[in-house]
Parts: sequence; structure tokens; C-alpha cells
Amino acid sequence: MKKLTIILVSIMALLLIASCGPQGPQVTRIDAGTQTDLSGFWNDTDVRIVTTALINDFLNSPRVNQAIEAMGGRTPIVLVGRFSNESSEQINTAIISSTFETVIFNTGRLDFVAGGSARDQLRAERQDQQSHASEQTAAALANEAGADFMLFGTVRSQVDRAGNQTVRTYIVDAEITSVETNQRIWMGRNDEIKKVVVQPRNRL
Amino acid sequence: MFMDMNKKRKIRLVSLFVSAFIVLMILTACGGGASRAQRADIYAEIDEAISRNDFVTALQMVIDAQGAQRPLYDNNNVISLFLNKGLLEFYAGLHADSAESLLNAERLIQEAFTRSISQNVASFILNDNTKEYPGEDFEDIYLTVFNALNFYHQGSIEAALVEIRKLTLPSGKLELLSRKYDDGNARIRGEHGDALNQAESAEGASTPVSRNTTFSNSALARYLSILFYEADRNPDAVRIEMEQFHAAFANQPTIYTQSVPRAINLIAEGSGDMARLDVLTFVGLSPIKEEETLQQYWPIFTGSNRYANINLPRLVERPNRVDRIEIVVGDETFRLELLEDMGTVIVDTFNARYTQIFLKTYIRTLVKHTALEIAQNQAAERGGALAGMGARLAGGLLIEASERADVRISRYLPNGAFVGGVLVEPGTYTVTANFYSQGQLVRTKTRENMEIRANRLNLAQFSNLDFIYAFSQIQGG
Repeated sequence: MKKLTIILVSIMALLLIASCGPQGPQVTRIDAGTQTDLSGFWNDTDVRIVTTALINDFLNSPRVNQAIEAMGGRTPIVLVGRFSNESSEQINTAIISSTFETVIFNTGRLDFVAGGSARDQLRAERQDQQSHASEQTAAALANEAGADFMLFGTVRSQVDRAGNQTVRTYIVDAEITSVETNQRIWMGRNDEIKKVVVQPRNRL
Repeated sequence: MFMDMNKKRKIRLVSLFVSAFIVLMILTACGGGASRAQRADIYAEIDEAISRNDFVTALQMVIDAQGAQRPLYDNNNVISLFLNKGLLEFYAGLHADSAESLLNAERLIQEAFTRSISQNVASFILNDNTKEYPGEDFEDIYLTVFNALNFYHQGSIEAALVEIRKLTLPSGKLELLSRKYDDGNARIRGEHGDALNQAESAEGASTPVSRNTTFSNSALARYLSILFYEADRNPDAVRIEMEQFHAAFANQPTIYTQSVPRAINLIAEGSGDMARLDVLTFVGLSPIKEEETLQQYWPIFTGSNRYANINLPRLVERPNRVDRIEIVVGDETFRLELLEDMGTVIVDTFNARYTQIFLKTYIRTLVKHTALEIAQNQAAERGGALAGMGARLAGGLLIEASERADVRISRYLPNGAFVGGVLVEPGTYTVTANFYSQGQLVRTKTRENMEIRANRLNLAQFSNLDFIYAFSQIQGG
């Protein structure tokens, strides 16, 4: 009886001490390609899966090849437009659009021009050079390369919850549209990211 | 033989001291944060700064108090730290910092779904303060509302809409809240109806028990949703959110006792070539928890052990003095109308959880008194009446020291959200908000050089947390 009491008291004391708070952080470096799912939210693995699939789809699209050939030997110029986040979690969609830009640019099949805030900064700098740089070195005004196509995209999510289970599905759409004719030359969709997240009800 | 008895007594005495010492060590070591009295002093100072609307000073006080040797919020109360810090950062206009703090609070609230067994055991032995504070449902909802505004103030309607979707989409926070307590409370009422009925009629009981939440749709969230979807040029979503807005008023008459604000009709009517100014203002401070003691009589025990104190958290309102808000823009003057009584929402959602809090506290106190009764009887049998009395006294003190209501809460949520709107010629304006209390102008806030343009969102947002400062002396989590 006494032994049992001692064991019970010891367990309780240990549990009480264990309940006193978290320990400090532990850092381990891992390969960047390793799949790490901690919370079930959108992460680097999802970006990699989605962008790889969509870019491959784009590069192998006969419609894209047609559009490039129709340019008559000139490399088409693309402007990256809005890649909007219509999901219910804060996702940095700039990672998706910049991955598109980098990979496609490096294939040499398309050229990209700066858009958004980068374009605004460049225009401001060009304007500034008109007053402050020498005539020989100042960049000329109204000489920007006009884009032939614009890249748009959307990330949407579908969430279903019951008890401690959540199902998260992500649908990523991307499209490249002709600036002149509004004609779409390529549309891609990736909906292969589907996760069942089971949050444990208890921990020690 | 006599020596043996003496030795055994000494060993028992030493064991008693060692056990008491261990319990005290655990009691003090687990907390690690500021004492109740220290917290009350710090909160009083912060509240004084807030009553002056000096949010930068209030925020700095929180940061300083957290950096002290005994921090304001201990390891089990990190959610309150992020909530309070995030809200003060919001009022201080530090929207990027506020978004970060509130997203941290949100993440921790989600993680707190997984309950720690060890902390749960500790909470059944000592009190609920030994557990990580998991955040209240209303905190989870309103932090998202404030984060939507944080992203709006940073110029990202897209990110603001992400926050709004967390609340309003199917399986979002509002829908989850509506189904969270329905089954649980009914089950508890079925299994422990007697204890609950007894508590409801107990002396000094002022806190409602065993009530489901009626709040499942926030007009404030829908209002922001309408504005942001409109700015995002999504008329379908605006229409749906408008319907949901009206449903919030129609289906929750105990929450929304006022009529639908005219600002909503103004949005629905459209503004043509004119520019519409929308104004959202937060006023007052929300209710906070304080400890309430219920006297319980258990005839099964003997002597003074029959009388137990059950310490429970209860919500107390903080008297807010602003009763009228007037907006002046150009030649136009209009009064803001109540959109959401956030204090009422807080009380409603807290009541839903109260059944569980009450039952756990009741059982824990009962178990402690049972243990005390046994210890007292054994001590009296072995060491006589005096030993029995000593055991009762020591045990009583231990129960008194360990039974503490969990009064942790975010202290800086506003008490109400008011809205208004007006059509003006597009242009640059100074927007002034005049706050009145019993006919007297008590505070004025202005937004200079606000560009109000047609066909875009022009939302002016003010916060005035004026409240009657003398009240802030009460203790809080």
C-alpha cells in the first residue's frame, strides 16, 4: 500500500513538474527539399509541387509553342500580373509568381519585364536620372519594352472541419493572356494538394 | 516501544513538511510570473495610460513588464501576451507589428486545442491557472477582425479578405463556434444537472451557468467583409455578405437589440459619382474576468469543512463613458450607430464555456474537501483532537491557497463597434470624430488630409477606449 502511494505521489509530482512550461528551441538544419508538414497550412513543399506541375504544363503546352512561333522569331515578353490569394490563410503568392518567372526565364523561351513596385521604382529612377545623371549615361524615357503577355494566377482553398479533423484542399490557377487581344494562350490548374490534418486531442 | 513511537512521529512530521514544501515549490515554480498584486499594479498603470488614449506608453509598459524578472505573463499565458500586445499595437497604429502579434496569438490558440495531460492533471489538483491559457472563443474571433483591419491599414485588401474568410467561410470560426458547445453542454446538463441546479441557486451566485452560445454570426465581420469585397470588385460576394449581415441581426435578437445601422443601406444604395465615406469606431473596454466566490454547503462533511468556497471566474463590465459619437466631414455632420455590442458577444460566448468551468471547479473543490475530511479524521485518530484540528487548519489553508479562479483574458478589446457613412463630393477632407459623454464633448480625434474618392473604399477608423478609470483597480488575468 505504502509503495503504491509513493509511486502515485511520484507520478503526480513528475506530471506537475512536467506541466511547468516549454523548453528552449532546438535547431536542426535539413535538406531544403525535405517534406516538412507541421501545422497543415500551406508550406514550401506545396509551393514546390504546385509550381513544378504548372510550369511543366506551361512548357509542354502546344498552344504556348504556337504563340511563341507566331512571334516570328522574337522572344515574347511577359509581365507578371496579380497572383491573388483568395484562400483563408495568409499565403505569400509572390513566391509562386517569382518561381514561374525564374524557371521560365531561364529556359530562354520567354522574356520578362518588371511590373508592380519594381516597375514603379525603375520609372522613378529613370525620371531622377533626367535631372541628376549625365546626358550620356541617363536612361532614355519612353523606351520600355512592351509586354506581349501577362501572367495572372489565383490560390483558393477549401476547408472542411469536424472535431479535431480538418481537410484542406488548395486550388491554384494560372493563366497567360495576350495584352493586345485579351486572348488566353495558356491556362493551368493544380488541385493536387489535399491534406487531412488531425490535431491530437492530448499531449503529455 | 516509546522511542519507536517518537521516531515514527518525527518521520511523519518531516514527511509532512517535505510534502508541503514540494507543493509550495510547485505552486510557485509553475507560475514564474508576476504575483496577483504585482499584476494589479501594472494593469492599473497601463489602464491609466489607456484612459488617456496613450497607447504607445501602454504598449511600452507591457513590453517592460514582460521583460522584468517576474514577467507580467508567465509561460502558460503567452496567448494573453500576444493578444494584449497586438491590440495595443493596433490602437497605436503599428499595424505590421500588431498583425504579427495577433497571428502568433491565433497560432497558439489553434495549438492549444491539443491539451496537455500533465497540465490537465495539475489543473485537477491545483487550479486552472496551471494550464496553458487556450484563449476564449471571442478572442479568436475578434483577433481576426482586428487583423483584417491591420492588413487594410497596410494597404492590402487581399490580405484583409483572407482574414475575413477565416471567420465567414463554411467551417470558419463563426460556424465552428455555433456547433462547438451544443452537444457538450446538453450532455453535462444531463449528467450533472443536480450540481448545476444547486449552483444556480447558491448564495452569491451571479454568474449564469449551462447556457449555449447564441452568437454565431458577427455583423462586424460581415460589415468589413462587405466593404472589402466591394473594394475588391466582387459584387456576388457583396450580395452574399449583405444577406448574412441582415441574417446576423434577424437571427440573434439577444445580441443585436438595436436596428440595422443606416450605413448598410447607404452601401446597398450605391453612390453614383459621389464618394462614400465609411466610418468605423471602436469605443470603451470590454468586460474582464474577476474571481467570484460562491459559498457552498456540503452536509456530508463535519465542522467547518461543510462550508466551501468555490472560486469561479465571472465577467465584469468596465463602465464606458462615451454615449454618442459624431463625425464631421466638410459641411456634413452625422452620428455613428451601434454595429456590434462586443461586450454582449463576449458575455454570450463566455457563458457557453462556463458550464465546463463550473463543473470542473465544483468537483475539484469537493475532492479537496473530501481529502481534508479524511486527513483530519486520521490525524485525530492517531494524534488526538489537537492533531485533527492542526490537519484541518493546514489543509484548509492549502485549499484556500490552491483554489484560484482562472481570470486570464485579453484586457484591451473594445466594448463596442459603431459605424456610419455619408456621401460627399470627391476630394481631400479632414475627418473629425467627436466623442460625447452625457452631452459633454470628452474627446476629439481627427484624420487630416483624407483623400475621399469615388468608386473605392474610403474607410476612416477611430479607436477611443475611454472608460471610467477608477474602475481599473480591480484585479485581472
